[in-house]
Formats: sequence, structure tokens, C-alpha cells
Amino acid sequence: MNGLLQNEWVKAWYGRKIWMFLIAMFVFLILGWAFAAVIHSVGRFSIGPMEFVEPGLVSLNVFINLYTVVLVTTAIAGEYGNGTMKQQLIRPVPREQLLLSKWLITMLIATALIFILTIALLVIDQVYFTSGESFFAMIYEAFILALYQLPRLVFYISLATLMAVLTRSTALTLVITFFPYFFGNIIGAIAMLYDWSHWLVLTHLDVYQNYAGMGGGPPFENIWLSVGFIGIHAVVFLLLAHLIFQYRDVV
Amino acid sequence: MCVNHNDHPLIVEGLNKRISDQAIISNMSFKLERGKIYGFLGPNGSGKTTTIRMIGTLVAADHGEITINGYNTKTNREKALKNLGAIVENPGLFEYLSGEQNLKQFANLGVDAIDQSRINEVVKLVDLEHAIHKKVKAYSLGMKQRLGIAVSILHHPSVLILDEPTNGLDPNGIRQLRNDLQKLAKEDGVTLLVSSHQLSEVEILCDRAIVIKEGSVMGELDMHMTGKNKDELTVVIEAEPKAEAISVLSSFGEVMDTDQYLELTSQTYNTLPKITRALANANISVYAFSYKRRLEDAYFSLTREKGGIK
Repeated sequence: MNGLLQNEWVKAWYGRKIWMFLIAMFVFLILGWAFAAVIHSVGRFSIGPMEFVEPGLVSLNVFINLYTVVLVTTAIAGEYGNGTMKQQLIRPVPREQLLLSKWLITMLIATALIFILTIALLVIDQVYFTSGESFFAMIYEAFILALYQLPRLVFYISLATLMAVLTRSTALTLVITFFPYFFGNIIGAIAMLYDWSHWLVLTHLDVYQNYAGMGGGPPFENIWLSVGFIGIHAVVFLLLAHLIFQYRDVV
Repeated sequence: MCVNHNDHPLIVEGLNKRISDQAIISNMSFKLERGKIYGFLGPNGSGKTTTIRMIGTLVAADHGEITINGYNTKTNREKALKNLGAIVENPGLFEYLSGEQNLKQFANLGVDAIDQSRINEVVKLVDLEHAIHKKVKAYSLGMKQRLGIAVSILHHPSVLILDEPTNGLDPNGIRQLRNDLQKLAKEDGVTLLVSSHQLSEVEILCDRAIVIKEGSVMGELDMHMTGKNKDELTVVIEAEPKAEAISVLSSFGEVMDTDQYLELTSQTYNTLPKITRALANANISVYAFSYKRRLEDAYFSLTREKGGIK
């Protein structure tokens, strides 16, 4: 399994897309900082503790979500398309390990990106905006904020894994996975008109807004029920992906 | 079928596959002798690639068994695949990685550890030392094919299967590939199954050929001019008057009258001068005299397709 993880790690860092993504993230971070600095300098709208970290993390997390969905899609559907998957499947490694390694490395990269972004936002926040605040208290708060972002990442990366195994098409996987990502809020808002809306997983994905932010009423009584509900969906997606990956012919 | 797995590293028994209610493979059985190179021949759509995919566990058989070095691909998939190297349709390389990085990727997919010295060894075998640090997207088709072979033999497989390996290669690439494959069989004792449309290439490269049609094995041919094969030439003659020529040729064997030519089947190479002498002694004018290549002849006879005349 170590060899498989190592392979996926190497592949994830090769090519232009990772560097383009990192450069784009860096540019967005600088732009956000510049924008906040201008507001801060006006005086009347001074940036308080976590007021740079929170919107920064929530908005830039969108790009991490999008990038990591593309990453796992390329690792599965892309490899079916260019024939490398076939070559990997005739190797003496269990198929479930092959698929799991792709999902695990994507999750590892997604989680690392979330925490690196959080640290970068914290440092900028401390150096330029709230240097008087307790740094350690903010680290804890930022860490919790970063954790709130993870259930949605797990959900979409698992959904993309299933769709990539099912369709074996990069374009189709991205369309199907991004549809609920971009239209989930609208679908959720419409579903709110009905009693059963809390059984719609899309209404749970924004865990931060539902349980710690300024969203509407939380769909379940507590955050753990929502996280569990999202987790069950992710496990079902991965189990289905495993079964399809294991038994479907590669023609 | 009672066979010794030591002598036959690949055994295919009673393989069947239906796709959309259509039989693609029907009761296919064959076995490969260790250290020999086998051609895998058949018309388009005869099931060659499907069979190769089934051996590589990419496609599941409805019925039948595949055994690689004594391990059943259904019940012992990982152990069976440990003994198999294969290129199905294309080499399946990561184009954005270098040749060496590709080899390391696939080395990590083995059961046993593969060290740098083994990587160097296979690179030397396929003569890619000069380009191994270049990205694969800069490789020629022939170089990709050779790197694909290097990738497939990294883990010392007993059986190597190549699907149309000479497709798109120039004559130099074909010759280099042929040398590599013959070296593998001779020096490493690897058993090869090479699917190809090029009968002449199979005739030069292979020891034996398995001919399939409509998903079933039609026959197996020996490429060497030994024993029974010596009697497998078909002589093609254009002569006048035809009736007298048929009468003379009948003494050598069965004569078939096509529109333009007379065909004399099952002749030996040594009989050819005797036939020409007999025709000359009978004052028959001979306008053309040739014989069909053994494999081509046998192939068309097995697949019941009309063959050309060399």
C-alpha cells in the first residue's frame, strides 16, 4: 500500500496543474490581504480577531474543493482515458488498494491544503491586523474553523471517486460532481419548503454555516448527527465505487 | 486437460464470454510451452484482444479457467498476475513522467521489491539508456513500445503478452522490438504471446502460432520447417494447356483449379524441382510457378478466408 500511496503522491505533484493552482491560491491570498488592508486602514472598519481568517478560509476553500475534485477525477477517469489504469489493473495489487490509494492521497492533499491555507491566513491576520490578540486562542479557533470545512471535502471527493469509476469520463464526472456543489444551496433552499428537507444531504454540507455561522436552522439536532449523515453518504459512495471498480470489465 | 504447469506457464481452458447476448469467446482453450514465442492470430473481431484482457483479469470470463504459472486468475488473482506482464492495445505509460519515473511507478505495483539495479537491467535490455531520463511524451512510438515492454518485465514475469506490438512501428523499430523479444525468450525463458495482424512478422518472430476465429481456436501451427510442416506448402502454377497440366500435377497430389491458377496442396519444399521437371517433360508451358507461404496458407485455410498468392 505504501508504494501505491507513493505513486499517487508523485503523480499529484507532477505536471502544471498543481503549480498553477498554488500560484492562483497565493495570488488570491495576496489580493484578499490587500483588500482587507485597505479596509483596515480606513479605520472605521477595522479587522477584528478571525475576521480575516474566517472569510478567507470559507471563500478560498471553494478553490481547494474544486481542485481536489479535479485531482481525484484525473487520477481515476483520466487514467482510464489515457490507458494507464489498464496497465495498473494487470499488476498484482488488489484493486481496492489501488482505488483507496487514489482517494487517500487526494484527501491528504485536500486536508493539508486546508490547514496550510489556515496557517497562512492566521499569520497574515496576526502580523497585519490583530497582533494584540492571543495567538494561541486564535490558533485553536482557526483549527476548529478548518475542521468545519472537512466534511464537505470528504463528501465531494468521495462523490467524484464514485462518478469517475462509474462514468470513466473526466468531463462527465466533473459536471455531475460540480452540479450539486454549485446548485446545492438553491436545491437546499427549495427543499426547505418541505418537512423532509433535513434528509437531503445537500442541506448538511455547509456544516460551519449550519452550526456555527449565521445560516438558517440546523438540519439536525447537533453537528455530530450532520457529520455522521455526511459520513454515511461518503462511505456509501466509496463502497459503490469499490464494487464497480472491483467487478466491472475494463474494455 | 491434464497439463504440467512447469512446462506450460499459461493455460486457458474452456473460456467463454458473452457481451450483449453475443458470444465473443466460445470454449477457447490453449496452452503455451515455457520459453516459446507464440503468435496469436485471427481476423478483426475474432476475440484476440478480449482473450488477452481476460488473461490480464481486465475482463471476467463467464465460464472457463485461466492459469498462470499454476495460479488461477479467479481464485489467486494477485499470485497469477505476479507471473504475467502484458501490454494491452497501448503501453499505458504516464507521458508526463520520465521513462525512469514510469518504471519506478510500476515497480511500486509489484508484490516483491524491485530495486534500481533491476530497473537499470531492463532499461539496458530494451536499449533505452540514452533516453531514460527524458519525459515519455518526447519518445517515439517505438521507444514507448520498448519502455512498455521494460515496464511489463520488471517483475520477472513467466508470461509476457503483447497486443499488436508492431502497430505503427517503422521497419527499424520492428526489427529492434523483434530482437528484444527473442532475447527475452532465449535468455530469460519468458513465454510470449504476441497478437498481430502481420503474418510475415509472426512467421519470423514466433515458434508457434495460435489461430482463432469467432472466439474459438481454429488450430495451432509450428513455424519451423520440421516434421509435419514440411508437407504444408501449396504450389501455385499458371500453365497451358490446363487439362494436361492437371493430369501431370495429379500424380503429386490434390489439384485445385482456380480461375487463373492451379493449386497443388500439401507439397514439400524438395518436391518443387520434381514438379517443374514433370511439367517440362510433358511439354506444358509454365507461365508462373510459386508457392504460398506456409503461415499465410495455413492461416487462410484455418480461418476459411480467401488468401492471396505470393
